[in-house]
Amino acid sequence: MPMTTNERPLSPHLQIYKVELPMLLSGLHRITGIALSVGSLLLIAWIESAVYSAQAFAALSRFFGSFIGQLMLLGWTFSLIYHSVTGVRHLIWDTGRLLEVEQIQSSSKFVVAVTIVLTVLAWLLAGGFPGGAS
Amino acid sequence: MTAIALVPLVLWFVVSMIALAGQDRAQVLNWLHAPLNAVVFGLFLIMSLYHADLGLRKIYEDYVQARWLQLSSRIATDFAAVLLGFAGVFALLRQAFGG
Repeated sequence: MPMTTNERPLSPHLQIYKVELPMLLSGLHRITGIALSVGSLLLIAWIESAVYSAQAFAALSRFFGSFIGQLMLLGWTFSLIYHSVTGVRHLIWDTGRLLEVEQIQSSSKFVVAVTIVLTVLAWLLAGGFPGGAS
Repeated sequence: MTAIALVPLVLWFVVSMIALAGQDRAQVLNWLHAPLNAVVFGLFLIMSLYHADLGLRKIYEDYVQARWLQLSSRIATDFAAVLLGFAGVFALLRQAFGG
C-alpha cells in the first residue's frame, strides 16, 4: 500500500448544505464523544488520586471547585447526558424505528429538551454551578 | 454492544456521582470499598474506554489523511485505553481488598 498522503479533494459539506437541526445534533454527538474521551483522563486521575494520594486528591478537588473546573465538569456532564440521549436515539434507529423525516425532526427537538432538563437536574442535585463552592 | 451496556452503566454512574458530590476523600474511599460499587464502576470504566476507543477510530478514519498517522493514532489510543482501564481497575481492586 503506497504511503502517500491522499491528495484527492474532499467533497464540500459545510459550505454546501443548509444547516438543519438533525445535522447539528449529529455533529454535536461526535464532538461530545471526543470531549468525553478527553475527560475520561481526568476521571481516571480522580480515581487514582483518591486511592493513592491524599495530596493529589485535595489538589484535584480544589481544581474541580474552581470556576474553570466547574465549567469543565458542567461541560463534561452535558456531554455525557447529551451523548447518551442521542446515543439511545441511534440505538432506536438501529432497530429501524423512527426513521421517517417527521419523526427525526420531532425526536431531535425531544432530544435537546431532555438533555437540557437532565443536565440542569443533575447539576442542581449535585449542588454545583460555575463559581460555586465544591 | 458497548453502547447497549453503557445505557444502564451511565445512568448508575451519574446517580453515583451526584451522591458523591462534595464528599471528602474518606467518604469516596468508603464508597469504593463496597464490592458492588467497585465492580459496577469497574465495568463502567472498561465499557466507556472500549466504547471511546471504537468511536475515536471513526474520528481518525474520517479526519486523518496520512495513513501512517492514522494508524499510529489508532494504536496510541488502543494502548491508552488498555493502560487507563488496567490502572483504573487495579486501583479499584486495591481499594476494595486493601484499605
